[in-house]
Amino acid sequence: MVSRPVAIVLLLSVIPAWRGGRPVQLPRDVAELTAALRASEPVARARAACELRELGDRAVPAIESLAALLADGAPVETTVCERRWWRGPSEQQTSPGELAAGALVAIGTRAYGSLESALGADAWIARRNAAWALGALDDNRAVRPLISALGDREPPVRAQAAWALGALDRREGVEPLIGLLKDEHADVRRQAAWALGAVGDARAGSGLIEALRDPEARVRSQAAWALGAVDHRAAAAPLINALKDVDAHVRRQAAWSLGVVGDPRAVEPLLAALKDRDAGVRRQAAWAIGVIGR
Amino acid sequence: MSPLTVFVRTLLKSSAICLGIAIAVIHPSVESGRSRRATAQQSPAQAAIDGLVIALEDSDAGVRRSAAAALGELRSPRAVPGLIAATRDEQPGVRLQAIAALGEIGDATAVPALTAALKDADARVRGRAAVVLGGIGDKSAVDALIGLLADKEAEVKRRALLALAEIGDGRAVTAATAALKDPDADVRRAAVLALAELSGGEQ
Repeated sequence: MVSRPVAIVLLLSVIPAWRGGRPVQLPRDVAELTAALRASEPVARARAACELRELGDRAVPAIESLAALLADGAPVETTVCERRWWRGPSEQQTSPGELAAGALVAIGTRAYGSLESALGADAWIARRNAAWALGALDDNRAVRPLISALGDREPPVRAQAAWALGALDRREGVEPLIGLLKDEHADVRRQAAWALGAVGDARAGSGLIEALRDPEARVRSQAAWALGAVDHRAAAAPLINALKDVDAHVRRQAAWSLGVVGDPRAVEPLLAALKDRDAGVRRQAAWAIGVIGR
Repeated sequence: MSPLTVFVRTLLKSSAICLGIAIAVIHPSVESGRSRRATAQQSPAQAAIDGLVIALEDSDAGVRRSAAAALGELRSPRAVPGLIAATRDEQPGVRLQAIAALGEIGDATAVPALTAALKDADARVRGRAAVVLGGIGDKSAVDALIGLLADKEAEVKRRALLALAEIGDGRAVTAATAALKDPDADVRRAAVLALAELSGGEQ
């Protein structure tokens, strides 16, 4: 059973990913498409990768060429493919490399070896795209190499590896992800907090509570979310504190998590939050009071 | 934690979103789920209800809607006067949520306000008020519900018929019979159900 609010969030998250029109083009075979992956125009390379993705595991002969394309970061519009595959709604551009990663995921587990090797590629874009693909591939062999990638020298690779470990949802990743909450880059810390919330392991509690005091608001709000996702009992007091955060997003997220954690001690501070200057915080506080009281 | 976990898993497996920063701010919906525990009415709840009733007059419609939904969860008669006032909110979404909350509470003092809401400009509000009146089962609403069978929206008529069936007052038989000739098949189906209920339930 998926509760209604959860279903709504799910819809809101996924809908924007399914827009866009189908390119008008005759079907091409694997050999043709593999050759097109080396076209001089980025758009042509991107289209070939998209079409290979549609072929699923029939694209096995293209694995090596797709893996070679992972480093290709040339910007192309997300509309080159029939639907937005790679990024959320705010992202306007993708690249042949990202689309190649999508095609490798569509091929499935037979692409695993190439992706694992790509995690050691010279170009960081290839390593990042490989990390994404390994998270999306759902192959447990990827856990170890991804944990190593948490130590990559490039922040986007570390963030993507953190995402992948959250996506794979394996407990082995928890301890290294807790360490990553102290990364020097805020985006990496934020992604680590997200991944810990996704895995939902109670061990993450104290690290996430500490992250509520991160200097960056986006990290604090993600940590507040994760504490709700983990449903961590001890989180009530620090989350109540977070209702007084300077940043409205953090206060909102703290109110949401307090509703999820459901500690009756939160009612009084949430009542105070009904007078917050931010309407979003007041909404979320009202919702939380109802949830706690039911 | 379980529904959330399910959500996160489903989201991830969809692989539609990369770098999945999923900040889940969840807002209440109109048809809020059944309450898990029936122990809501006691202790610190009074302060909570009073605070939420004040929030029913917030300047932001989303806050008013959230507060109404929360009061529906808390199910306290203490909230009824505030929710009745909210059935006259300028925003249909707030009126709808207030009416749904009154339905959760199920207090008969709300019947006049709910009956008035059957004349709301918004069809969803009219339909919801009918459903709630059916649930409360107060016979004083029967005439107004019969009047609603002349509504221009088929869905409203259908809900009115089901509400009349639930209240089970014989006065509705004639109107329900007339509704058997409604152009809308769903309305006719509801009329059949209502007539079965109304004739079967006669003492």
